[in-house]
Amino acid sequence: MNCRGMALLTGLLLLAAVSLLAITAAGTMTLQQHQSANFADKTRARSKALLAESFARAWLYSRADSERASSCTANCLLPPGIYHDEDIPDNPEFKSMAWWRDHGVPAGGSPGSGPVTGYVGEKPMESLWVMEELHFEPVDDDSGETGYSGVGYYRIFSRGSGNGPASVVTCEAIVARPWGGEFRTVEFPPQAPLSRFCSQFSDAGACGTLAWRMRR
Amino acid sequence: MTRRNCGITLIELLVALLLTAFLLLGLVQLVTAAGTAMRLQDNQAQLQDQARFAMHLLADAVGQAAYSPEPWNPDFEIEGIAAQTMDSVSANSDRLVVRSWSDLNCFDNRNPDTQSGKPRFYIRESTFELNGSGNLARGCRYGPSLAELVTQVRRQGIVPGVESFQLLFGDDQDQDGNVDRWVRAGHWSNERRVLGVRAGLLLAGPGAVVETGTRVHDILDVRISSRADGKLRQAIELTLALRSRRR
Repeated sequence: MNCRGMALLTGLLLLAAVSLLAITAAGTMTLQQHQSANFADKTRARSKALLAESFARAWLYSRADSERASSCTANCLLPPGIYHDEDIPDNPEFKSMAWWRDHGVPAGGSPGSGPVTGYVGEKPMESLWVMEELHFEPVDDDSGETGYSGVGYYRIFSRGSGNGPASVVTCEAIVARPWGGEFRTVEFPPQAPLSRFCSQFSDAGACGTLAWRMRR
Repeated sequence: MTRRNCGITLIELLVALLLTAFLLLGLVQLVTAAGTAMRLQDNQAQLQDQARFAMHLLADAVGQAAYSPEPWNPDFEIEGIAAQTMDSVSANSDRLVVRSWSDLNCFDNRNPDTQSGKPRFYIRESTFELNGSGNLARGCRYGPSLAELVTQVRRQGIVPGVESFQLLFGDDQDQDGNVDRWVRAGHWSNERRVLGVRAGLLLAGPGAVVETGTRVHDILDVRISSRADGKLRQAIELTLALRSRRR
């Protein structure tokens, strides 16, 4: 009877068992790693979308009264970058990157002046916004109580993307912005908290983000 | 006389057994330690997963509360935090009820009721509280008006292993756009001045992996003693903004 090779066989069996254990553990760890990586990427996309939204708001608050005709009450086209109500498709969150590149403004960019100003990340196309004027509400302000003659309501769509192709977040915000009065606009790029713009007005409901939701 | 190749003496066998016993002892300890570490890591990963899911769920619901498609139109006025939001509805659980206008129902499907080809906006009401099985449960109602809300999801447990769910609400008393104080449900000066929600959760892992012993956890100033069941626990606190109320 020849027993040579038994040690090798036993060793190989042990190695196989240990390898199986290691592979199982590594598989679980890889799955967990993928889960947290996906979450981190989605969070990154969300932050990018919120960044774009805050720059869109800053840009809106920085516009001078002269940029909007005071007698106009609906779809008063501001500088390029502001679309008319219904000009933007119903579900821009499902539009391609090419659509967003053509229509969107990168965070920190100024749609009127062309060249990009202010903050722009390493990949500016990761953080984009578009805006449309939804509604204008004239205010009867004979007593000068509100400090403005009307409020424009703007819908901002902002898109942020992460590293993965599926990591895309699109948010929608409806922002009110008073027009026609003796008040200060903000600097663009902003140098102070945006809430300073709305804090000039006594009427709490007429300024700032009045509606927000996640679209994708 | 030729020596047999495969035979061993008793002494050889005993020495071999002794050596094997030592080796096995070390191996058993190694495998036990590795198993414990793996179970611990698995429990930790599951806890983190539960925490992520709860965070995602609550952040989405609170972030979108009070959404109105036409904020200038009084017909679309809505309470973001509904009056049914309550403190201590059951042991270790508060209840959060958020409302918004939405063209998507509780299952995120488009509303079949349309106008000019677009889905109409109905009220969507989401409720979060703990159910009897220790899960963070979500209920959801959807309808054209508050009087016509239809239950589409009835207290469905979605985040397992939640032992405590506590809430505080950020009240902007002077309306300057900043939270002045954090209060319990219903103690705010005006629902419209609630700018944010603080949610505290105590999560427990699925299995016994740590030394047994009770521990006191402080969840948003509420003291909770955990059971001595050897489960891994994690307390998380989130501060969530009602994004429809940012100036």
